[in-house]
Amino acid sequence: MSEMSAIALERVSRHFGRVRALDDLSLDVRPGELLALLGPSGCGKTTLLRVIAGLDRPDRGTVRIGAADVTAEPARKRPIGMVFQSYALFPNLTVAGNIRFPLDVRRVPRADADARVAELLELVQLAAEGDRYPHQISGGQAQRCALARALAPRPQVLLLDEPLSALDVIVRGQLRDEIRRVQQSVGTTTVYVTHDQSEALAIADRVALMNRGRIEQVGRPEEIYRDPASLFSATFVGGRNALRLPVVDGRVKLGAAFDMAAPQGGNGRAMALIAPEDVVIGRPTDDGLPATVSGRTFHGAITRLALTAQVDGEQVNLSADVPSRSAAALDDQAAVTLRIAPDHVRLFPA
Amino acid sequence: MSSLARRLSGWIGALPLLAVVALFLIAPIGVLLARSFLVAGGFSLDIWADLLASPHTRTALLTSIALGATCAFVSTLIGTPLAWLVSRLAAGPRAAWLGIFNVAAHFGGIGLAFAYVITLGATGMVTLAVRSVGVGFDPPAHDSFAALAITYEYANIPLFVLLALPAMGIIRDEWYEAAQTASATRWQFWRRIGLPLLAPFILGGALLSFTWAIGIYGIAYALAGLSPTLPKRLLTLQIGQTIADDAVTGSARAGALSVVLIVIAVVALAGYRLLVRRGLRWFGGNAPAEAPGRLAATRPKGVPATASSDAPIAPRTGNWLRRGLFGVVAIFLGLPLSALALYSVATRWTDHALPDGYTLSHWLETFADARAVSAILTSLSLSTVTTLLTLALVVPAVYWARTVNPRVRVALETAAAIPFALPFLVIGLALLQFSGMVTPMLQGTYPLLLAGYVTVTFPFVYWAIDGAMAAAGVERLSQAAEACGASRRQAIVRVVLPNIRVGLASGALLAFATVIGEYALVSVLASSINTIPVWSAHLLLDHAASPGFAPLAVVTLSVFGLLLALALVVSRLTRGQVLREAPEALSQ
Repeated sequence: MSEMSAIALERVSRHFGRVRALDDLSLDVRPGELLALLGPSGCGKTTLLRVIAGLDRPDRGTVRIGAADVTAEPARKRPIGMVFQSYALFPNLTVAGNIRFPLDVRRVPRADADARVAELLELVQLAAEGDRYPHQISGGQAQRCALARALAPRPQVLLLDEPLSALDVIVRGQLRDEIRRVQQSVGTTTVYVTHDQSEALAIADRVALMNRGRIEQVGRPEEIYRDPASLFSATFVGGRNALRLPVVDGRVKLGAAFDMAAPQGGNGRAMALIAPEDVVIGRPTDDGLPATVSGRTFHGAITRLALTAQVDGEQVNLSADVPSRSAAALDDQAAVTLRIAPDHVRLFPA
Repeated sequence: MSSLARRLSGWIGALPLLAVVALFLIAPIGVLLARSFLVAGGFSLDIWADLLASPHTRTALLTSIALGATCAFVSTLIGTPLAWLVSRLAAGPRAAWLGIFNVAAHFGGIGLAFAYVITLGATGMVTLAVRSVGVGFDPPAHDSFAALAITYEYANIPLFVLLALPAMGIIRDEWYEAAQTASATRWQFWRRIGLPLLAPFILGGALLSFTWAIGIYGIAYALAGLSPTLPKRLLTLQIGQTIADDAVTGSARAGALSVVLIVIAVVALAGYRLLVRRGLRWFGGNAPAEAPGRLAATRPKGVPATASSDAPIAPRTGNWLRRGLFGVVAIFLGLPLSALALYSVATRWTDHALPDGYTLSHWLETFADARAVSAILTSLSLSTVTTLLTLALVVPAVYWARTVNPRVRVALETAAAIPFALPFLVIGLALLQFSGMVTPMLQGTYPLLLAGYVTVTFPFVYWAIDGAMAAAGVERLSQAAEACGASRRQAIVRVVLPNIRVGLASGALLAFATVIGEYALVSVLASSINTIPVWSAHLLLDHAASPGFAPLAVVTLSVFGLLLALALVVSRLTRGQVLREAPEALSQ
């Protein structure tokens, strides 16, 4: 450990009845980084955030923030700021009053608090809205106010719980970039909970992928996307095709599309995961697995084609991303071939 | 002509209810008000001059206000934390507590007064128990201010809780968590966020409990009706006595005294609306989810239903406070119940903490006694018929208000506020005077009493059904039904009614409970009709004729048991949902 972690969770467990929300989980967050906690709903990511915040106590394990063991500390004694999914702005305080609240309860001198509030209003671009009440501002403004309130006492750690999920698509993109800008300008270590992979991949320095109370994989967004470490990672991120294929003579193949060595383990079957953009479409005369176009979804520059092929008498469905210009040349029911480079196929024992 | 027909069709579903309300509530109250300014056919302030010059009236006014204020203060002090804790219970226990509070709030009346006598009276259970451990103890006399205040609280605290409960829903758990993560202590959260948000609603609740306490008649009459001093010292008792003393001039004085109660009620209701509106200003004037005047069905704008879905929030702190308060409440409610239960099986119980012996003969004799049985049957049928009539009138009216013509709603909200705020005694007196003018032959009959009961119970039924219709989204449901080709009748019977059965059940329970314990209306309008409260009051006050109090214990306990069972069934149905119990703050 050359470098001290900003947040260190060691073997943390939290059970709700028979549900293991956190299952012997360990995680380190580096100083100044933005770590996204990504996972499906119910995977324990919000519980993990609440355990870091002190709003929930682990049944076992320790939580450190900086050098201090805070496992036994209540939320209000931890050096954190938190942004809630539903903003949780206090309706009886103005925007400025909300941002001031953490300073007031810490008895920060009036002049210092005034200056800090003004500075934060500038930072989140709410200078004109300081005197408004929460019910008088938009959702995006409310979330920026919540961010400023969380940052007001200069916390060591900033925690965000699905901060964009209540906003519409356009505001969501803008605010995501805004949060990133603010976070980088203050340099606060940040944990960002989301179930939206594109949000996590876009905003994070590193992504921690969670499933069933455990961390499946931690890595830079590109690593998580290109190099999934587990079947869950490969399935959850990237919208991959998942095919259950037989292992024959130590090899796995999909007709003429690919042929490669089988992974260790698995009872004669393997799961093959293939990203749609890695499926290469060819003319009917090219080498590869013959298939027909059975449907399409237009995504702007890219069109996702639904393909159907016959392999050993069984029907196989796959999706492939192609540039929309090329897709336009293909009719429905058009005959094509498909190939997949073996190094783009992730195999897992099934 | 066709435009008139069209206009009429916008109101037709609500017309029966509005007609009943106009005829049996609004017109009588109007006449009552007018007559307090009329002497021998001309305008005059003589009645008022007389009244205000009387030292009796002034004392009565002051005592009533003092009693109301004491009750409101105690109810607020205990009811506020209680409502908060109940609002944070899991659905199951909350449903149970709501059931108990509903019964306690609407049960009231003579049975409650009797329960006080055998609990804290001169030879009451608690009195005897305290003495048996060698402590000299003189409980407050049953006709004292303190005795009245204590007994009132049995109905008043539950009413306050039911009224304050929806307001507690506006405090969201994330606010407390956000305050914690901002380093605020629990106290800092309550002082800066929680209490400022709740204050208007708490004050509004206090104002209403004040008004209710001033308007109570049954308990006051049963405890102090024959007292040589106190009848003169409470407004409601004075009204009751003047009617009984002298049907001719007494009725004018009683009418004027009633106007005083009406003025207090109107001022309180206006204050309540003002306060609640003020409380909602932080929400842009719109009732947020679970705020007063709304059923807990919608969520705040933009908050997904899955908020914190993978982290069940169970407040783990404050357990001792919760257990302590619920314990105190359980004892508070349990004492009179155990006194009733023991009394109903006691042979003699005047000296020791427990009865001298036990017998089932009271139960057997009571249910063989012709007058007791007739009272039970009369009350059960009156309650049932009132409930069915009210449902039949209210359901189409609310449906019309919600799907056909929103203006019906304004009329209904306004009408519902009247019996909610006014003491039943005043409504009874107004009906008595009005029927005396218009149809004297109706006086003392079942139809008049039923009409009175429908007008005082319809607000509870209206709020319950309105809330259920809002929660079920009846507008959309009936549009969908019509889009599928259903007629309006088919839409109501096959789609709307099944979806609001929870509201129907809660409304029916409240109407039933109100009528079965009601004393003021029946004593004014038709005291010859032998309902349970009439029978009970007779037994309690007329010692010479009374064969002892045991039958009273048997009947009171049976009624309470019946209501509690019904309430638990209903609150199981509603799964602890908080239904409206008060006028909407935002209607016009």
